[in-house]
Amino acid sequence: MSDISIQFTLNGVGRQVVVPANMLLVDFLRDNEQLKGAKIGCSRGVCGSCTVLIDGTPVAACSTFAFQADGRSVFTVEGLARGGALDPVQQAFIDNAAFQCGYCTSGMILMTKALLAENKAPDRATIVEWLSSNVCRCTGYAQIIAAVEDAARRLREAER
Amino acid sequence: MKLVAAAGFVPTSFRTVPRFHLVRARTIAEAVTAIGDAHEPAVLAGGTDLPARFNEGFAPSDLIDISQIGALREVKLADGAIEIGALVTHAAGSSHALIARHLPSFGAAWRRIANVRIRFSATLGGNLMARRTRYEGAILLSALGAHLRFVSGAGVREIAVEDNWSSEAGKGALLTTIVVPLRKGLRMDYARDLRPIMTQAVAVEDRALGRVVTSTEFIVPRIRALTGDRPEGALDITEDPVTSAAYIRKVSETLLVRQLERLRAA
Amino acid sequence: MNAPLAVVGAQVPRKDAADKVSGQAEYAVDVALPGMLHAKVLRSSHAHALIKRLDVSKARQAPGVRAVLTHADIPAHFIPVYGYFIKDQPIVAVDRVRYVGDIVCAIAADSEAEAAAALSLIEVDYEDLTTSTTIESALAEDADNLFPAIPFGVMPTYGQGASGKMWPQKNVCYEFDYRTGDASAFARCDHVFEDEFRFSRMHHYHLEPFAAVANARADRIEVWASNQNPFPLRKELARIFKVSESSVTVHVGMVGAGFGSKNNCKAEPVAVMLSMLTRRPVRFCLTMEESALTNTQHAAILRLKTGVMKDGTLIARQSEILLDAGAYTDASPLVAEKAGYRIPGPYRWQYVDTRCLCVMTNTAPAGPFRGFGGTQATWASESQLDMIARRLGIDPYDIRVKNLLKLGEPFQPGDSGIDSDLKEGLDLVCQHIGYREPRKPLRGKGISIGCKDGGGVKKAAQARVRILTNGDAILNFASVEMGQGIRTAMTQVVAEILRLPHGRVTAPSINTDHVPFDEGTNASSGIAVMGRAVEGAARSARLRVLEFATEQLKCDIGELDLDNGFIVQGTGPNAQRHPLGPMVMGFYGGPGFEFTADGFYMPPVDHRAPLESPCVFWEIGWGAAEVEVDPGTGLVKVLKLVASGDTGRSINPLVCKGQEDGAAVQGYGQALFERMIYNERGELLNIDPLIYRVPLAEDLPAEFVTITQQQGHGPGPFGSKGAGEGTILPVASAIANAIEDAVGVRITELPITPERVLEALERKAAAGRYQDKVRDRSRSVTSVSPRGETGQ
Repeated sequence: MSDISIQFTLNGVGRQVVVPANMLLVDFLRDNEQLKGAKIGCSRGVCGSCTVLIDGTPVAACSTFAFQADGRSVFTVEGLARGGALDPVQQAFIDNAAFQCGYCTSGMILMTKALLAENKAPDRATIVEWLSSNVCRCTGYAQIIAAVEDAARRLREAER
Repeated sequence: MKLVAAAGFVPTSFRTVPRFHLVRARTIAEAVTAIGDAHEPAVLAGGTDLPARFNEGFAPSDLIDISQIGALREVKLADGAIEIGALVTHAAGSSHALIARHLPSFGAAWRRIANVRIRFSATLGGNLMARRTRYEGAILLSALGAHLRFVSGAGVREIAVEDNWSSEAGKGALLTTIVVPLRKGLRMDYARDLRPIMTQAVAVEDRALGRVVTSTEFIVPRIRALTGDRPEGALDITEDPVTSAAYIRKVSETLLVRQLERLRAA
Repeated sequence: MNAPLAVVGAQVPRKDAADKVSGQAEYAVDVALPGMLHAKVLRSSHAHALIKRLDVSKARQAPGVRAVLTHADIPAHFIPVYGYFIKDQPIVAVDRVRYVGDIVCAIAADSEAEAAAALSLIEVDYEDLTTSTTIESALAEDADNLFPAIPFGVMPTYGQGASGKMWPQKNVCYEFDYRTGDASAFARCDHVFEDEFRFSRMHHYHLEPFAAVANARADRIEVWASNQNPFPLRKELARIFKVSESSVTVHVGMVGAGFGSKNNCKAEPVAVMLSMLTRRPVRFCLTMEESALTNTQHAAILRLKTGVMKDGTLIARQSEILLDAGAYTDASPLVAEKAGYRIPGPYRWQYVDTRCLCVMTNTAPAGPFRGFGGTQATWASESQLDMIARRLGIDPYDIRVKNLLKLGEPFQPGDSGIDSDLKEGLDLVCQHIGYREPRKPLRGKGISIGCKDGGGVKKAAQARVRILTNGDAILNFASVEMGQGIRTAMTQVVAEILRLPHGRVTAPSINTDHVPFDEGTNASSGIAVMGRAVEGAARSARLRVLEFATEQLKCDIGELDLDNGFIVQGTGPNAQRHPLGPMVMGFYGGPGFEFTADGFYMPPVDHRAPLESPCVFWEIGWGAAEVEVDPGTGLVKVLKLVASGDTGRSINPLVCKGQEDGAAVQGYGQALFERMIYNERGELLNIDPLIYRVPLAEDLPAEFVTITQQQGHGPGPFGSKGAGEGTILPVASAIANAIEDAVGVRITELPITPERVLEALERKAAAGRYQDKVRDRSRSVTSVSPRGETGQ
């Protein structure tokens, strides 16, 4: 098995790297790039702790090979803050205490980013549907749902 | 975790994914050749089922990446059937214009399986080829009487979707298309509220014929023909580790009555 | 209690917020040391077997392998077993395996892939023993003994009415007994009801698995662990590896949830031993399935014999509780104490007689799980109370109010008084569920009150506050931040006392070399036990600063206050504000100074209290549920769930609410579907994360309301008490009570599956009116069907 040369953007910055074919994206991010925000939970792609965005679409990084990022744009939670200022979704999560142990939080935030990019005013049922892609064992979800509604409001207000 | 002969369990994870030969196929022909040549091939479509397989100890010699083959992502109308490319994702397919026009009830059911994130990546073909009893693609497509088209070095072969559980058709071949014949008035109802205990898909057509497909997360779906309101034969369920056969049979009947009512009202 | 507070009670952001929303928080799984090796273990596929042959020779030669650990590789003078009261769990198997998943041996290699490949080369011959995967089979005559040689253990002391026994019979590692009152009370009762309840088993499903990195050097063992009690872990590692405790260092950063499982040794002993063998740092990180195989909740059988008067007055309760402890004792004796002690619930009794046994089975070890015996006890007690009410023709609300302990009334003789107004909380949840509203067809409402002693038993906590030159403060304390918000709450307490904005108080990660001793983050003890140590430390540190200031200002200490880094002299408009920084540097010089003080708290020992110390506080969970039952499928839809706890005084409202939400949802999942399913061979059918079902956002009831009461009676800082375990307690029984209200059937076994409900409905229909005619009003004993559902 040979290694593969891939080119992609990571949090807005162009990268060119050589990776083993069997290297998973979550390992590449955590071990090669020191981006530890994506967490390993179930190793099956069901819990969502490892969620990252590829071309804006949320994917489970534990179920994606690094080489699949070739030619695409990858965003992790570390790429959200701009020049030290938190993204409105991050701020909404803080203001609504939408996390406890924090292990699912990166994934929840990125799912929220993807949702709000597609739908600026999601109703509660849509928010619940999207968030059901990610497991949280601590919060019971109520405050995460509130944070998403809050984030949607802030983004809409920022646009005016 | 992987059972190591008699020695015990080895917890496998993606960190134990063995090295494999990667083929990034650009055409169906390339993919078919690579699959045929490989000692133990794995196909990468959406990739959402592969981690589970690796965790079960699967060690492919070759990984054939078909995700760039555009022809496999098309949905077409041909010869009175909807042809769904194997790489069509749940998200793209369930909202596709052709599905919305010709099989909206299938689209509505398709749209509910897995979860939002998985639906963006997971493909209908991958769902079927995983052959996992808890995946729902086979339930819906069995109700619709769909069949699967495989391409291999030996040519093209089609089988009924319900035969895929045990068929050798997929061995050394590439699933390219899921074919759903559009019989007159074909529509379906999918009762999913009791999942994972059981789900049931009912499809009917204008000639008062149809199918009822009953499944639990542990068993291969049971298919029975429907004539009018009556299913042919009793529900053949003997084993489910969690729920009794008596319960599944009884509730299957109850659900069927409700589902047929909904289909009549629609 | 009503004094205006600036930081306590304010909705300030969590201390760990910025890190957690930006992926910067560091957990044990994130720790990487140069030269670090990776450990993997071979786990038994047999539930109960002797190991006749273990051949690791090929594994030792495999590529990348640096060490193979079998029992034979452990130096003879080590004590390679661990546990709580009883030291029974070996680091790696000695001569047998006791459950599917038990660790046989371990490998450290350059990569996980190489470790896993090497494990595949190991050969094991097992000789099967009988497998007992249920309480009943473990207690049977012909069951093989899991512990033919009794492991070393230490009994705790008990106070009035309580006692314990170790290994009273085969496959029972512990028995806890509690008795108070006179057994003749049963003879006075109008009715005696006997019912059996069954409680299921979940695993904690903490998203961060058990993980540890160990670096064993010549003079120090250093461990980074996902752990809730760093100091007991340190002591246990020192004991196992025969080193002085002062040469063991435990680091704990953020923990990705624990819910009780991350107490004491888990991944650490294997990691340390492999580090010793290789002289390299070793990381042992479990998969989610391995975590499920490491620690679980206790399943239980609870048999309650309850005597009452016809007007609903509770008189006597005799209980037999059987806990499924799994293959190793872990915290089972402690859970037995608590399940046994809490079974009477928050009510007044004349006679209580409880026996609780820990039964060893060939399944994953059961240990601390949020609720800790209280969940099991509440399921049985609050279910039976409703059943009794209906049999007597009394409203379930009325029977509770009639018997509830009053504010200040001791839970049991010698124990502390209840510190919540129980009726006030009950009325609140009844109001929110609309308890008095007429019922719609197939819909019903149920209520429940869970009660557990909170704060642990005789737990000692220390804390240290350091006030820096310009008035900032550092809080050093060993409570582990695992999501419950303890770091936030404690820094708020310090900020309040020092009159600082919350942002000027920090609490670093835990390093046992630098932080004062604490027994562990469990038993909801944070605010009420550690909180008092923190409060003491903050007040003392403040005093040190003021004492320094009196010498600089040559005035009386009564004139001075400390406010946001200023020494305030005098009051009112003429008060002078002296900035602390220049005053400190003026005396100590450029480098400045730190004013350091420690605080300590430990509840008093009192032999009159059954558990040797009056309970620190009472953690109550009030629950109410409205359900709709589908009689065609048995599916139960929870239309509304109301859960409430009393924090006394919330330090951080959203943090408290989050705890109540999370606990209630765990109880809700267990009530309806979540459980570990074993087959008779001791194999878990649903351990795969693809199959094991935990609550998702879409599973929540249509209306889900949690209410944090602040009744103000807590012993912690500012009238606070602990939270986090109360609202898991009542949920299952509230739902079961609502189902009986809706369709007249009683489910006594968890989970409340559609199949169980449908079966109960069918049986009820078949019985028809016959049973109504023959109900015996003078003395009723209900029959228990094989599936645990009552005949009525």
